Amino acid sequence: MAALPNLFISDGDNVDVFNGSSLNTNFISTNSAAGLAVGVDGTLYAVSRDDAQVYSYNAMTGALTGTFVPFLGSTDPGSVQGPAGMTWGPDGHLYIADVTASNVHVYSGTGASLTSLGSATLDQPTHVAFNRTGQTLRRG
Amino acid sequence: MWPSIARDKLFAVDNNGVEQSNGSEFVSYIEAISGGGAYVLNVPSSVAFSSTGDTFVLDISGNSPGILRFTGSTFDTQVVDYSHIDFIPSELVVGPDDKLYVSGVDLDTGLGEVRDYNLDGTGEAVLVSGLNNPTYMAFAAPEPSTLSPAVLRCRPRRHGEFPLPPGGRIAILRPVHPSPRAESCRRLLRHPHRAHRPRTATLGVGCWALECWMFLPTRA
Repeated sequence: MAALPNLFISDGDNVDVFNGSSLNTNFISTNSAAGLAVGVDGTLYAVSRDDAQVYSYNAMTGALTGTFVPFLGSTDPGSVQGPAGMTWGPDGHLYIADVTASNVHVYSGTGASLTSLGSATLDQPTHVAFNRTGQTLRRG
Repeated sequence: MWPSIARDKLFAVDNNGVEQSNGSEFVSYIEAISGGGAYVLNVPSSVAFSSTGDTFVLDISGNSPGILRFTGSTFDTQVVDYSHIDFIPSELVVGPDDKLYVSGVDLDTGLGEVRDYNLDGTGEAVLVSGLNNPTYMAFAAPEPSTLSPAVLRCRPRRHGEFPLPPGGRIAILRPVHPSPRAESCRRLLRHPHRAHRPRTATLGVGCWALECWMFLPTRA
């Protein structure tokens, strides 16, 4: 059986990494880490609850490579106010649950704000995920 | 010819339960304090999906914490019950190995942990310990939904050239039984997360039971 890929864990002000045998509890230092997501190119994205920004990191070294989604202000609809969980979608967009604004922000693959999804029933979302209906398609 | 596929749907967990996006807004998918089956969802924390399509919801309520499996319109099984052990769960993900991974805190030790389970809740093991207050998790592999639209699985001794959709890429994430004889397999497996841009994917002789995940480039 193949080895499990590294597991990244939001752990207070750090993002830890577990490589299957050892744990690095100081892989990434950030301000109150919340959601994590790994892009198709292997880049690690972490959203800081305190900074309300999404940062990108080299998933192998933990080195900061940039601010993917900056905080634009508390009144800017393109800014996440209370980031929680996030995930990449099959459309190449990043989806971030916002517990403060009670919606889900959608960002392009370059970090541009696209839209916010919400409804009268969406109440302080903490987690987002896509199902996997399209995966089992063709077997050789 | 690549057949059309169902588009993956976005789900959000909130105070009302599990919501499903219809493209423009969220509508209720699983209401909290309901369930309709043998189990009731009280305080959902996270939702995750297995490769076989089952839905798993982590309930972190004080009196009924556990992992519920949702099929059809009811919770038919509580696969993990945390109500009788000193573990406060936080978040749930399904790993690329189709196992359940739960972060939380062990009250006996006061330390954070990640525990893993088979999809039926058996085989509990502490994968990681010594954490502080673990919450969200992600594996160093692309999000499963981004790997749609296809999975190409090579049966034993099936090999040859497979067409890719225009602009498609291939990444091999999980060799079930990589054969040491298959040079093409070994070459690709050395870079399990590297995206390639061939027009076809050639799988060598002996490259059997190798799971190749096909996906289209993002449209960002």
